[in-house]
Amino acid sequence: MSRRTARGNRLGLALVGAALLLAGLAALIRAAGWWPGVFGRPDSPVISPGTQEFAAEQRWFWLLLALLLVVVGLLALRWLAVQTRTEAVDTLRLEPDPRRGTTKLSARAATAAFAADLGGDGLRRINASLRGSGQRPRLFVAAVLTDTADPATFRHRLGWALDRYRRALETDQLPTTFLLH
Amino acid sequence: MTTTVDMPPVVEPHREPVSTPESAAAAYRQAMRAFRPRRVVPAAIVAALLALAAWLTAAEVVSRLFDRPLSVLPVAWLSRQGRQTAWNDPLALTVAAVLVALGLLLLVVALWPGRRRVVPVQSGHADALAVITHRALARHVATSAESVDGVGRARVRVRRGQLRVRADTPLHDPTGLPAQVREAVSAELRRLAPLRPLTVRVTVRPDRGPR
Repeated sequence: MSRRTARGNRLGLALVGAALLLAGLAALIRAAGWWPGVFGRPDSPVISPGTQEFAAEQRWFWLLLALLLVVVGLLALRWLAVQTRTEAVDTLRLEPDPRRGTTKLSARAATAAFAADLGGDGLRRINASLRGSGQRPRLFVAAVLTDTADPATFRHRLGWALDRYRRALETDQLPTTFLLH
Repeated sequence: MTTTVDMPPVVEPHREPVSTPESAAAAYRQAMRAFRPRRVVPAAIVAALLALAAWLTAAEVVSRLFDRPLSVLPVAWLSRQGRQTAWNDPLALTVAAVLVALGLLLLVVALWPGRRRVVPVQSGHADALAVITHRALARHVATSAESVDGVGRARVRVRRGQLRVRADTPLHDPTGLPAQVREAVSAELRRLAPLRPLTVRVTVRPDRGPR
């Protein structure tokens, strides 16, 4: 699950929320008759004869509305689809300059090596994955320690395994997130 | 495919764990940001409903443009209601109030920072963030509390920088036991090294027989 999705979720929820809120407020203001000059009379029907006439005559309005609704529907489906997005990286490029050739490495092989390096006593389960882009990957490690394991020893092993891993990937920077769960 | 290696791999010295107060505070903030709630459930619900509503309406509109009404939506009923209901009618007011309430609810869900269920801990590496979930933290602390002689079962709750330990004991006189439990819990916390200290509250109750 990616941070971009988390930001997108907040934005999407805020937009839909604001739209509903504004529509509801406009209807309430009209009903209260606070601003009849702008919103119209409070005792006129929700669908006035004028609106009916407009809706019956303007074919382009309905076409535009249908188009808009299809676009909104597509956006909403995409929003739904990205909920499972993980930004997982499957291939790493080890050469920063492509003119000098490329070396590719399977991300799964690389993370499996890291997990094996880190594994051992006190570890019940470990799962490492690379996320972000192939050029600038981030390492995400989720582990479950046994109840009697010493987290300090484990922390030490993590630092050591991380250094080894970065040397293997020939990278100076590998931002790492570590989750004990 | 060519592979150029003209420099030996740089061997970096092992970096020291985060230790200065400023960098610890920065790491804390970063970890809390990374583990902000993602609001997947409300987002998925709203997205699914929005897609459904938009496409049903679009299908209805298009079918009517071609004079072949699908009638998946109660259009006739809705337009009758719309013609007969004034803006200040209780029905219209109720619908408007529901819209306002829903909108406010979604805005709150979007803007509320939310509660994190993780505690940032020292990672042992300069550019690594480490967190432990409240559940895992409670499990570790409970195990350490239960390792104290005279403690039967310990339950631990973690909330907002507070750790509450409730231990049962079969002993009739638990004098001194709370201090021992506290010591065991503190030792475990020192090993976990949270970036912000947690306050620990220990309660020891005599076990009232088998339940």
